[in-house]
Amino acid sequence: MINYGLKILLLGLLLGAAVPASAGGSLLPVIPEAQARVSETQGCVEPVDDMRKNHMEYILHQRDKTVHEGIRTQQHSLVECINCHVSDAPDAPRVSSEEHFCNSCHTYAAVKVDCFQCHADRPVSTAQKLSQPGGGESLLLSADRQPVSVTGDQAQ
Amino acid sequence: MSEQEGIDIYRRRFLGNAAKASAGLALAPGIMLTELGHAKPADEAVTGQVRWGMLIDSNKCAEGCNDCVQACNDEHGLTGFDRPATDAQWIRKVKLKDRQTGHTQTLPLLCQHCEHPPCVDVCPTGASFKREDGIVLVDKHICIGCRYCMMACPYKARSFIHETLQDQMPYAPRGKGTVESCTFCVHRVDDDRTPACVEACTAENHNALVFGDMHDPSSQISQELERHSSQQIRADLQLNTGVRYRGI
Amino acid sequence: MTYYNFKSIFAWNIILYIGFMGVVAVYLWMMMERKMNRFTRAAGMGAFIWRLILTTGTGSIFGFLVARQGYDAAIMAPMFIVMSFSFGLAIFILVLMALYKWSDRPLGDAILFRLKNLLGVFVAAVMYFVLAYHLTNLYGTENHGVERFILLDGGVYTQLFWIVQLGIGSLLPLLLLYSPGPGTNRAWIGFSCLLVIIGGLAQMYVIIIGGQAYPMEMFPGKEVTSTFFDGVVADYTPSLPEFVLGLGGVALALAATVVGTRVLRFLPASLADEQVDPHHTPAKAG
Ligand code: SF4
Ligand code: SF4
Repeated sequence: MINYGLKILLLGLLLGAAVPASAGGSLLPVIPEAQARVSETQGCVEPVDDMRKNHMEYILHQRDKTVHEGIRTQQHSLVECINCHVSDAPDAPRVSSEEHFCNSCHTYAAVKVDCFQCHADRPVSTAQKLSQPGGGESLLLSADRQPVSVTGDQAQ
Repeated sequence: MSEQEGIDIYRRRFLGNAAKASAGLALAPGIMLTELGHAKPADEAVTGQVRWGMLIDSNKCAEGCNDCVQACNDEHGLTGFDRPATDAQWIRKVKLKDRQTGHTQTLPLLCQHCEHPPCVDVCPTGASFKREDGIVLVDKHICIGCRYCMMACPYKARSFIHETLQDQMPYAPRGKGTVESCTFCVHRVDDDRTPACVEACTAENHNALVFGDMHDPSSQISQELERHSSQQIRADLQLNTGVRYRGI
Repeated sequence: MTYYNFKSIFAWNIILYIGFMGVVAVYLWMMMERKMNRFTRAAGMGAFIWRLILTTGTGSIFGFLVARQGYDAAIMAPMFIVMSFSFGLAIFILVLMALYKWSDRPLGDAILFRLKNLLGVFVAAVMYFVLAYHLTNLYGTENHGVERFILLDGGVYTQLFWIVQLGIGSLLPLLLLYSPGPGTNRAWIGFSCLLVIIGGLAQMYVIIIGGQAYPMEMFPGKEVTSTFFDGVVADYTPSLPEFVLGLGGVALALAATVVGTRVLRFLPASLADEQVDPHHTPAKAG
């Protein structure tokens, strides 16, 4: 009896595991196409295999160079990654979505990306099109903001 | 556009920088100075030979005009959350009234890009730092948000981001939990352009703001500073500010 | 690229606080390990010197802020030291009384009165430093603004300063501790300690919040207006999480003390007068 139940359970598990595979879906991430290739022979700014493994090293290195020394080469710049790997269509996926280039793989690898807490997750051209970047209400009206009336420096 | 064209455009953009760099190398140093001004190749680090500065003429600053502030907000995607006490303001218009004489004037106040910045002195992690060319920045990657720099800055120049942001300007990353202040539009400066506020003021023909290299005797800012007297705000602190004022 | 900025007194405080835990751990070990007992004194002295440096660091967090009128004063460091003596001793007396009461151990008057007399000295010393600080500021015209703010028309800060810090937190306990009646009554001594702690909290509030609420003087002789609250007294009320965080720190320290004294055998079994003072004469004299 117990044996019989176990067999059914096992069978169920096997079937369950087989379903996604047989439905044609793979567990591998669906990585969106980039906008361009660096050259006919090379896809990304470094060989793709290398980029898959070491992109974070390149970006990290570039990050310090850019912030502290003002070195703004494009090859390892995060902004350029996004410009090329994320579409500038208005409905382009955000990093919160698995369809976003970075997140497609990061979800698969279960590695959290922090970059986009500060960095734009969509290309420069998208930012230029958006009227209200930043997520808050536009400060366009700041000219009309009333100056805080002052009790003076009431101290004197 | 065919695929090949796309690749070509991409390649050209890529090679553009390399070409710029090698062109610079090919020229004699003197020619490069006069020809390209401050344009530095993208792969070269900034140096202490340059010190960026700004001269603000309060006499030319028009009361009621807010163009510099607006330009800064637009440039960096600074948005408000209806919390005026904590909403970011990198540059602000300040109105002064002399208690004795009643004379009033306005001027923009921003990070003064001090040569000896108190914000850098107090920062425990080194997140607050001064670039070789005198621009004071916050490296938000290592800022822990302690806000000690905000207490230390004599000009109230810094803001703290309290809200989760998205759709930042790609060249001006900003995020919750870090401190920020005027960057002298460092992304423009590195690209040999002027800061957004200066551009806006000039476009309005007020010309109250002059930006340039204070170490270059032939720059407009150096010449004006030499010709006319100017002041630093809180000169008593001897911070040798990069922002100088006239008419206060 | 994070690095340790040794010019930052904030960064120093991290070392000083963490180091203090280590130093105290060594001190405890010397006390507990019989073989090491001969080093107890040295370790204790080391811990004491360390805490002097530590509090110098804490005071200097404010003392080193050149930009603000209310800070930027060398006196901050020694003042913080004396403040820590005073508030710390008040807490110590309360904890001591509570622990001995709850564990039914005798705590004699001799030691308690010695401690409360010392507390009186510390309270007076804090007042002296406060006086010296304000007198110095009042002498220079440039600081009249901030002094007027704290002493005269700073609203809640002024009230906290005069009523809570000075009145309830300093003068009243001083009076109680040294007057013949309440000064020899345990309940009154405990109450005085409580007052000192309340006064201390008020004093910290006036220094930390009041010192930042007052606008920085950037344009001497001018009235300042802007959209960024220039020239305006900043407005601050602690939020609930902030309040709870503060309370949590105190609770954690007290919990650690209770557990420590229960688990480790540090508390003398008796602090009765004859244990404390060999020359004690049982016939109670006044
Ligand atoms: S003005 Fe303030 S934020 Fe800017 S460099 Fe000076 S101290 Fe730092
Ligand atoms: S808030 Fe950030 S930049 Fe400012 S002192 Fe703290 S760590 Fe440094």
